[in-house]
Amino acid sequence: MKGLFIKELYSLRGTWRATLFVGGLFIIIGVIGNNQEQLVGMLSGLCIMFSIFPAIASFSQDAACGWDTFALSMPLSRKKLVRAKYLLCLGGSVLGPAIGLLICLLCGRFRDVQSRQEALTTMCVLFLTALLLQSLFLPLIYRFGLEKARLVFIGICLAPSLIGGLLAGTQPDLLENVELPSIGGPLLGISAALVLGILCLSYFLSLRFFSRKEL
Amino acid sequence: MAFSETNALELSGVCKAYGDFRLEQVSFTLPSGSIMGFIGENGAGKTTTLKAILNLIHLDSGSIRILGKDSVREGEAVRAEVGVVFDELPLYRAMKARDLSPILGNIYPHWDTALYEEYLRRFSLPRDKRIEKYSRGMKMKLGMAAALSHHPRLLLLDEATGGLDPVMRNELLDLLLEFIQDEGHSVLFSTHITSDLERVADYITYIRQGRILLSESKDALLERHGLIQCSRAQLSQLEPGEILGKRESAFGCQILTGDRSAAARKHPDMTIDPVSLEDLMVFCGQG
Repeated sequence: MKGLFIKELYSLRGTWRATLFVGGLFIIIGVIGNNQEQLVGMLSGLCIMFSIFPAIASFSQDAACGWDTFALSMPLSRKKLVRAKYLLCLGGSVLGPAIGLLICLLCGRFRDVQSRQEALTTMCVLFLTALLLQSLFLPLIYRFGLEKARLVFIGICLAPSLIGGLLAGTQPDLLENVELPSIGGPLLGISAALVLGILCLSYFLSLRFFSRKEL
Repeated sequence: MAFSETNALELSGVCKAYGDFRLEQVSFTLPSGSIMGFIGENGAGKTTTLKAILNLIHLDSGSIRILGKDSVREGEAVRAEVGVVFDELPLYRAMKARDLSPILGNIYPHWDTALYEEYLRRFSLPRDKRIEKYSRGMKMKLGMAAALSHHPRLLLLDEATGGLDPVMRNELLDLLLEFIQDEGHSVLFSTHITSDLERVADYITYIRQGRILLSESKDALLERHGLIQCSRAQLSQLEPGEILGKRESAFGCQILTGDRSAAARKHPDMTIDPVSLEDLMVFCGQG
């Protein structure tokens, strides 16, 4: 497994640099803006980038060079390859929000307790969102390949976005009284449990699809 | 078929069906300490067979043993002793030769970093150059370095010499002969460049349209077969059993026969030439 992680680090060198560069732009815009909400918004985008892009880039590069065939000619099992990808996704999901939170604290934008708590809650939600998105995406990749999976995934993501947009346009008052769940609140806990369950199901599905795949 | 621990590789009744192609009862044995040439025209099933050996595809039936172990049940463990060189180096373009050692060193239990570095020096491969900038020959050498640096007992080469110049191919063949000095080492060399195999192979297995046509000692194969040169008029003197393949031209006929010495005794008026592996492939490929 260590060898696979080192492989990801080396192969994603270009992706990390590009992500860091774009992330830096986000930070500059957010800090210059002197607007707390804008900063959180920028950081949300940054977190998702850090969380999801490395995994997608990894699959893309693997497919381009035929890495799976090479890897399975070594003393590696299909289970280990799938597990490594999920650990990469988990790492990305933690890294993105962690960096976002660090930047918030460094910028000193959240001096009061309430702001810090909101930032922490936001990052937790982003972590769960990133994890959920990847849990949905990975089995699609193993089943259909990266290109087709992207199309299916875009469709899945568009649906709630369209519904949200529709609601915002037709029922603007509906979301006004919706409160952000607190760190210790039950809603966040339930969401976390749900996402963990989906992640486990996702892992077993991916393993099943990849075990049956002929290379 | 009884399996033996003295064999590096044993395939028995391997079958795999795709839509328009099938491997049909593929069986052959690679004795330890030898090089086997695995030949066949394009699309004959060479790569499919290699994928079956590496458990990259699921067999419909049959079994494969590598170094005495089942390739499916004990595949992960036995692949620690197998080195594979593909026709294309399956690595990220932006990677460098120096990146491989930490990756493979943490995958193969017997990875030898010093040996890998030695191969890089021997092959004059730049450590810090991106693989995408490597020539075809350099990529092949890097693949060989990676395959040999974990002290494998079995080496599988899938069209590794295709597209290489004669100098580079010669270097590779020397490397194989060096590898085989250890009697515990074996090589399965899949290629359609038969001249390479005439130089290094001990055994030849010929696959055609998913079926094994022959699998035997190279020397015995070449000794036994012959090319009869005759005129069209003389063709009628030959019995059907003597004709394994035929080529006719304006100047006469070439007949592949399976018993050169018998044909020489029976037809003293005809010229019977030694046969090459390429001749065998061409004549057998005609059906």
